[in-house]
Amino acid sequence: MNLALAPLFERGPLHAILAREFRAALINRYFQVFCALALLGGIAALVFSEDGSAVGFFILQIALYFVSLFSLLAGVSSAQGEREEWPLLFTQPVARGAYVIGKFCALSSIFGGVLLLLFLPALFTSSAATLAPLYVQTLLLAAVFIACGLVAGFFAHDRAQALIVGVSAWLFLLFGVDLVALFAARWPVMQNVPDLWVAALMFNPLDAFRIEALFALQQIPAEAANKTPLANWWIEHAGAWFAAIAIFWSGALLKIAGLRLNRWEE
Amino acid sequence: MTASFRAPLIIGAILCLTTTVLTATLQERIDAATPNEIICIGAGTHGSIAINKPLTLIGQPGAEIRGNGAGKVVAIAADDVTVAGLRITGSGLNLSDDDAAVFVTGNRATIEDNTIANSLHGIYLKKVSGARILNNRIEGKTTISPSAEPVEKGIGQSAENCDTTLVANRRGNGIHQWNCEDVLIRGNDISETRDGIYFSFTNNSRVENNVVHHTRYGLHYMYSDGNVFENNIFAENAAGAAIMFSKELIVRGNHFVNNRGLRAYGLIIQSTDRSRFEANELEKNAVGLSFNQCNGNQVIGNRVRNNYIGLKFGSNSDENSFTENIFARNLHPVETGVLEGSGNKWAVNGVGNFWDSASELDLNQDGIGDFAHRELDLFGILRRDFPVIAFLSDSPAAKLLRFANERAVIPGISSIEDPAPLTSRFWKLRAQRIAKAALPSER
Amino acid sequence: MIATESLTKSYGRKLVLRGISLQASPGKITLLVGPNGAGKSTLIKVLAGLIRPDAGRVQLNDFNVVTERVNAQRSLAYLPQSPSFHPRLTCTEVLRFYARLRGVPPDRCGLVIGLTELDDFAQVPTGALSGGTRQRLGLALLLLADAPVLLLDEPGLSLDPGWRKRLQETLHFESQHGKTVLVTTHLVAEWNNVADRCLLCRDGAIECELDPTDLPHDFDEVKSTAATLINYPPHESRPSAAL
Repeated sequence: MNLALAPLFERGPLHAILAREFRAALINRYFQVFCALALLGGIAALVFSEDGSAVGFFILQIALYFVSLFSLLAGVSSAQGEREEWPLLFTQPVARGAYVIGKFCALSSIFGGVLLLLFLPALFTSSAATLAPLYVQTLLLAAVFIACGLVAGFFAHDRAQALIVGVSAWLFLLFGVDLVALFAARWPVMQNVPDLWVAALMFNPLDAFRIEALFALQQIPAEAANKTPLANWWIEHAGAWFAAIAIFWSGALLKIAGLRLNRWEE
Repeated sequence: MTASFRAPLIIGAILCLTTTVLTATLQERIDAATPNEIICIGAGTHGSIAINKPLTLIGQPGAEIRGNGAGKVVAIAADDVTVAGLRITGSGLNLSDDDAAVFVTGNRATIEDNTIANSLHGIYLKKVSGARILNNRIEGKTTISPSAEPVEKGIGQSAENCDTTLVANRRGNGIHQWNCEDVLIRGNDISETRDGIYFSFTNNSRVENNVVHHTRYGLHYMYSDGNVFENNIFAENAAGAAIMFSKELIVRGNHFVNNRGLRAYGLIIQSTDRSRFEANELEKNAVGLSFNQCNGNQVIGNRVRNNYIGLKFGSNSDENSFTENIFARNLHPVETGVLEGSGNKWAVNGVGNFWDSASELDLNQDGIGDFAHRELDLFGILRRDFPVIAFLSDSPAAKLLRFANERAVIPGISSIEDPAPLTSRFWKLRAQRIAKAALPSER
Repeated sequence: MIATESLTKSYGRKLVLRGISLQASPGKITLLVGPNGAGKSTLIKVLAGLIRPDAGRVQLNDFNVVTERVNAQRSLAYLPQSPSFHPRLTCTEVLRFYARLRGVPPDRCGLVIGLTELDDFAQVPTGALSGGTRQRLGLALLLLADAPVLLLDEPGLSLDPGWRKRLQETLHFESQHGKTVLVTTHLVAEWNNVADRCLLCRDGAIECELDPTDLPHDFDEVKSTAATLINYPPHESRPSAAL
């Protein structure tokens, strides 16, 4: 392992942070509520959908609106949860980035479990092979927003500020980017460079997730959009692209969070 | 003649007849038959036939009429011919010669319980009336033999020599009708043809309980009036069903499902007037229901669900009325282009349609929403000018704008307005009302 | 061993540390006293690696706190003024977490719980603890790692007199066992006869060294009782002071 990264992955501290996050999540009412909601969402998807593809579509909506928000809130909550404890934590002989990595890994694992509650009921109507890609993608989406929440939580001075920043970022990614894109699409200059417009959407993790899931569920006929080379490429590689962009955003956000913690002064 | 003399004669006649039956070709038997005779065709393969007199041909299990890959396999030129229980294969592949497995030019033909395969057109009805096409299974020809004679002009083959796929638009149709009258098409299963059922200048016919799948157009229909389509299934076709340049049709209880692809419609209706489209299921299509230059149609109680575009409303369509239809879980409920569909009625007698994004507020509990519902066509002409806009389908921003448009009209974006949208309880409440109304009469 | 050299730190235009140089030796308790706003807490946070100095050098046991923070912090235990912990975790869970974090054997958690008499609170969430009990948990954490350098920022503010005494005894014990102990406080009189050295910090600089056996009741007295002052830093040992 790269020597510069080695302190981030020291086993003892990382285990300690992971164990603590798991323990904190277990007794966290927020997570308990989210578990219940995930299960209810999974059952609702089953009850209100007529067939397997409808279940996938229902879960897609839950993932897009709720999983992204809840994972962001989990990140904010975790980062801010011990804000007061930082003077103690950061005098321990542990690279501060390890807290970022540890929290991210722990929360991602926890979401991996919680999302099972969302997906398990759907197994009554859909095969595991059908649902598995959507599960992995939803988890990747959650990971991006956990990282986003951690950044907001680590940067903000208090929980309220962190929530305002985090939710604003979520709203921007969820609605803002697409609204801007929608209005930009009416602009003749933009209409001359459709690939630029497509690229902007591709870099938004929520758009990349939505497009991958919609095309995978055959909700959009591929021919409806594949009018440019980039659009064609995106449709053909939507799954791989989303995985790549999710990993990229998670990594970049974790790096920013790590830099923030390293520069933090009491 | 004594009885002792007569007996050998009868036996001889029977032997002679049997020998004739066993040795004559099917065409010879047909030629030799008297009008209205019933000819039973035993198991085995027979060559192409032409029928010029009223006859009934009934195939025994295993009976096949196999053409030599040229022309028509069964050509019916006489009235009142019945062909049943046969496997019919091997027609020519020349579209311009109207090659077909069964080619009918006589009136009142009955084509029943046959299996038709490996041919260009399945059943071709040309300028006939009173034909009955019942319970046939028609499988289109999807490949041509790589070792065949020089391929006829007009058959598409890809540049690769080893690729023998017959492209869809060079195949024939399942049931092809031209200039016909009073045809009954019932219970047929048609697949892998160019168009499933093709109507051209064919009037006053019924098409019932057929299943058409894996074709180009399930139904390709032009210049044909006064026909009834009931309880058919058009599924998994490249382009669904198209009804064009016709009037006074009844299209009821059909399923148009899973027709995907950019130009795949559940049902496209073009330049069709004064028709009734009722209780059809249009589900999982690229476009559920499309209207273009249609006037005075009634669209009642159809379920338009899970389509990419639910209802596409093209230009110059006026005086169509929509009531009791369900529009649910379509990524784009309506596409109106630059139009607003304002010349059409979105409610009849105070009963509109169900829109899954409409408000469910219904204070007087009559199953009809208290506020008019506006359905926005957010992308409009951008679909044409900027096709990648499709990437914003089902985006939260689009939903947000639709939601906002419910509360206040967004200027510059076309939408339709249903003055009396139905709530999800409408049907239940109506059933209760009907039951209540029926009670006194029962007493 | 703690050694700093010409430490400066400013927040905007306000200079908080003005070139502080000091040394604190193992086996001794060093008091850093001064009025509020003198820069004591900033200095101790620089030593703990919580604040990065603008200039100067700071070493803990041969490791540069700025450039080798993690290594320097291995020999450090720090008790902040108001220690705060995850409110929903119990005392035992908090101690176990820090033990795992530092690679300390888990049985030391029981030991420090006993030393700080937290046995009755071991399974109580820290959010439910009183300020004094939380300070005792902080003290337990300070002792947990058995670190050679102990930094305490205004300790004992929430402790009752008995526990303040216990704290001082504990620090004395630790210093006797070779540890370097640095304590900041503005309650100077309470530490009379406890520390081995006492430095007066004012306006971001070490102004002088006081007699640890005769500490003033407040810092205004310091000027009027100049006879008790020992000039600091000693002229002969500028810029750093050997304590």
